[in-house]
Amino acid sequence: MRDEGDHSRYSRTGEALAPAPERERAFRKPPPLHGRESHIRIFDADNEARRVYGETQRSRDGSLPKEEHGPSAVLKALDPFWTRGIIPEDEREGDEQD
Amino acid sequence: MTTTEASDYTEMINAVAQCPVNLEEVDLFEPGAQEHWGEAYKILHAESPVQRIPGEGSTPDTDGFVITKYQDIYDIVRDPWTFPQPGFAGAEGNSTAGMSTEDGEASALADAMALNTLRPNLELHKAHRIELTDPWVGATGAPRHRPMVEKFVDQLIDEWIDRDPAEIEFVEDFAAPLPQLVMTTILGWPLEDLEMLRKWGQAQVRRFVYGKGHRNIMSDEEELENAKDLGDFMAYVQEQVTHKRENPGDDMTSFLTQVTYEAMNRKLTDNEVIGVLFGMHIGGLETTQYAIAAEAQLLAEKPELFQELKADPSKVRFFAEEGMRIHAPTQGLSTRMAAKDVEIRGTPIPKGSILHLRYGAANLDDEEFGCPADVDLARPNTGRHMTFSQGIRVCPGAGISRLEQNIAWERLTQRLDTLEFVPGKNDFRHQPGIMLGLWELHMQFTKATS
Repeated sequence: MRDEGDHSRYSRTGEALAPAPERERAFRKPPPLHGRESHIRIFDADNEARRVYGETQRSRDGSLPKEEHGPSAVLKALDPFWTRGIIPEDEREGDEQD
Repeated sequence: MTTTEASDYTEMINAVAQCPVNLEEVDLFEPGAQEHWGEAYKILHAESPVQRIPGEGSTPDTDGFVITKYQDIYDIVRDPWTFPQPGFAGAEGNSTAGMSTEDGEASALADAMALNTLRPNLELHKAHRIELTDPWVGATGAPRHRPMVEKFVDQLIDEWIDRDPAEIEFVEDFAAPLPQLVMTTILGWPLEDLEMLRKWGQAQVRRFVYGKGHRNIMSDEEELENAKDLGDFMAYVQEQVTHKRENPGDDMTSFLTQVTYEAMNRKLTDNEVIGVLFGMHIGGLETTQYAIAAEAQLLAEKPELFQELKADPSKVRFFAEEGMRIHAPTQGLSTRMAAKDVEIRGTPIPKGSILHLRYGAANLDDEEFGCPADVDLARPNTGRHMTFSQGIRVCPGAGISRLEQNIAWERLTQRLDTLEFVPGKNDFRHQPGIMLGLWELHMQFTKATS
C-alpha cells in the first residue's frame, strides 16, 4: 500500500518524507480528582494561575483554590455530615486556611 | 406572571419536545426539552461530553460549549483564572451580554447588579461572601434562622392540614411561599409586601425561564417589559435601604447599611447595598421552591422513603442533598469563559469561548455518582453535588436553602403520615428555561395521628 512517504515529491527532492510534526504546545492540567486524571489541558506555559492563587488564596503549595462551601473547619470537625463526602479526603488538609 | 403582547410565552410553555434517542436529537435548549434532560445527559456523557454550540461564544466569531461531565465542571469552577466569569478581571476581550452567575450577577439585571462593585477581583469576592452574606444566608449564619423557619413551616402546614378533602397544590401551598416568607424576613422587608415581591422575584428570574438558548436571551420588547418591573423593584429596595439606614433593625438590609466592610475599610453606599440585596432576592426564592417541590415528587414516588424519614429524621439532611442532586433547580449556567486556549477531552476550546456548565448533568454523571437516578441516603459523597456550584463562586445562599429544605421535611414528615400524588391530576410538567421547576404538584395527605 502506498503512503505519504512514497509520494514522488518527497522522493525527488530528498527532503523529509513527512512534514515535521507540530511541536506540542506547553500545557498544564488541574490536579487529579479522586485519583482520576483531569481531562483538561490549559495552554499557558508560565502557570499564571498558580502565581495568582498563591497571592490571593494563600495556598501554601500554590495549588488551586480549596473547596470553599460549607462551614468553618471547626464546624466541619464537629459535624460528620461535612466530612462524609462534602469535603473529599484530598482536600481536608488545609481547610484551616479558609 | 402577566402575559402581554410583548411577552406571550404560551408557545414555550406548551412545547413538548421528543425524547432524544441519539446525539443528533439532543438539544438542551429546545422548547420542551426540559422534560427529557435526564435522557439527553446520558447521551451527552457517552458521546459528546463537550458539545460545541457554533457562534455562541463571547463574540460572534467564537463558540459556546456545553460541559456535562462532573470532573470537567469541578476543574473549571476551581480555576477562575483560566475560566473566569465573562466580564471578570482576567477575562480579556469578552462581553457580559446575556450572561448570568451563580450568585446572581445576572446581566438581565445589569442596571441593578452593576451597582455591586464590591468584588472586582477574587480576593474581594471572597471577602464579600465572608463579611457580607455568610452571616445571614451562608452555612455559618443561616442556622440562627432555624426558629424563624420552623415557625413559617408550621404556619404554612397549619393552613391546610385540616382541609377536607386532604389535598394541596404543593407548589402554591408550601414550596413557593416558604422561601418568600423566609427571605423577606431575613431582608427585613414587610411581609405585607409579599405579593408584590413575588411578582418582582419572577421578573428577576424571567430571563432564565423564558430566555432563549444557553445565554437566556430575551427580545428587546421582553427586556423592556421586564425592565419596568425591575425598575419598580429597585425603587422599592431603595426605599427599604433609606428606611433602614434611619431605623436599623435585626435584618440583613439594616446590617448592610450599617456595616464597615473591612476589605475596603468603609461603609457601603446605597447602590452597593441594593446590588447585594438584588442578588439575595433573586437567589433565595425560586431555586429553593423548585428543590422542595422536586423533593416532594421524589417522596411521593417512593412512599417507603417518606416513612424512612419519618422514622429517622436524622436522614432528612441526606435526603435533601439527594433531592438537590437528582433535580438540581439550576440545571446549567453560561457563566464561565475560556480566558486561554484550553482543550477538554480532546476538544479544542479557543480563548473567548463561553462555557455552559451543566450542573444538573454533572449531578447525574455515573462516573461520580453510581446509579445516579436513585435516592441513596448512604451515598458516600452525598453533598458533593454541583447544585450550588463549587469553588470560590459557590452559591452564597446555600446555607439558608439547605436549612429551609431540612426543616420543611423534618416538619412535614412528622406532621403527616402520608404524602402522595392525587391520582390523575398531575402532568409533572416543568417550566421552560435553564431552571428545573415544577409548575404544580397536586398531592393528598394524611394528617399524623400522634
